[in-house]
Amino acid sequence: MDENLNPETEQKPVCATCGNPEILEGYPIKLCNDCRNKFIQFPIPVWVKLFGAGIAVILLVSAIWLPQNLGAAIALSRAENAEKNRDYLTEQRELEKAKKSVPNSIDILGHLAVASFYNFNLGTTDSTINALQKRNFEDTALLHNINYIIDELKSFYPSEAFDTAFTKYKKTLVPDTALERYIRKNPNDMYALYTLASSSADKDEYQKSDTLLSRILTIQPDFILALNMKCMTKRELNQFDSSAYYCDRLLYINHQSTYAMSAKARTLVKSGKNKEGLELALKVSDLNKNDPYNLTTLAIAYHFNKNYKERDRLIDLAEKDSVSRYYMKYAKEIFSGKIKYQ
Amino acid sequence: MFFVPGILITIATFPGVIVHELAHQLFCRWFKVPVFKVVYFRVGNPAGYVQHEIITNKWQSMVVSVGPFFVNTITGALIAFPAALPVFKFDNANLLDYVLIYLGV
Repeated sequence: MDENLNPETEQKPVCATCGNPEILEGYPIKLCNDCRNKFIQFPIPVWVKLFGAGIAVILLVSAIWLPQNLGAAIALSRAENAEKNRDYLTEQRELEKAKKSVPNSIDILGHLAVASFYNFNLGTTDSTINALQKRNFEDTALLHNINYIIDELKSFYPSEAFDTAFTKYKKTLVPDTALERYIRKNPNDMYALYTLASSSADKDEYQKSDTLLSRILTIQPDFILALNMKCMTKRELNQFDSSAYYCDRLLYINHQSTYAMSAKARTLVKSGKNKEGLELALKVSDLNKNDPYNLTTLAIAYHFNKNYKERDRLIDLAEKDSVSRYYMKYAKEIFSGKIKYQ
Repeated sequence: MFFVPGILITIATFPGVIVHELAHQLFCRWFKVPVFKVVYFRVGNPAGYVQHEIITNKWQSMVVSVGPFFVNTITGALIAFPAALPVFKFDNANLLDYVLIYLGV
């Protein structure tokens, strides 16, 4: 009599894990509320949590590094573009920014050596090249540029032969006669030729200085020191077109050479083109308002444009800095009539 | 042809596998999907897996399926990118940079 009298009764579904008949409906797997919650919160092992925390820490470190590295990379890219355009002033500014974040980068230091050389910041060039000693370059083009600069720089300093010949003049200036004797024996010593050209210019012997500079440029056509001085000697010889030509040659090497622009502005003013000279000097001031050479150029340009108020403001400004004060001495002699400029 | 055995690739990429499986599990937890088994890493094929209930909502299913791919890609990029700059841009990489690039890649 124990027969099932109702064989069509369905078996009620139960939780697949614990057999609890109170399952939650609407899900593919039949689970009770407790079991479902337990599986939703499936435990994460401690080692995985620690691993995840480690990854989170690494992410945090990377997130901290990212802005400064990215900023430096952007600045370096801008600098490289500026170098391609020969805008060395912009390049150096970008590299100084990048160097603050990444001080030991071979690429940043390498490009900085190049830019500072063309901007004539030889202190920076020297310290940067020293910092690059014994470093391995991957960028062979950059290495080539640096080697070129190092070769150029050799002519900026006395050679061993020069030092040996003038040992006794270590604490005094080498007389021109001694330099001339030395040059006769060493006709291609650029430093000796330049020293004599410079000494001649200091004595207002501009023709002699100009001849020596021409000789230097025959040996080394892009010797920046000689090109710099050519702008001045040609101006003093009243060969204004020629002076402007050498300024332009410098500007071809460095499109943002503040010296070349400022020297050209002086040539323009000396040739009577006062307005153009002032405009160019103001353009240089926009590029670098603290350039002491251009501060003097600007004062001269204001003077010949009869803007004495601005001129005097610049004279006062120059008093605050020893280099500017030194340069301004020349302008003051023009203003007082001691030097006839036009 | 240079042949790299799959097992070496599996072992070399273990950090990514762990993060990937953990991401699957966390996405399941986010959508309240029961998880029955998680293998975070093993030397085999697949290198890791998550067993969970079939997801009926197609969007949730898609997020649980492909979400870890994006988690790994973004995490890897964030870890490797700052370290890649010293290697490829600044030419001043150190060991830590290479470790981070390995982890990121």
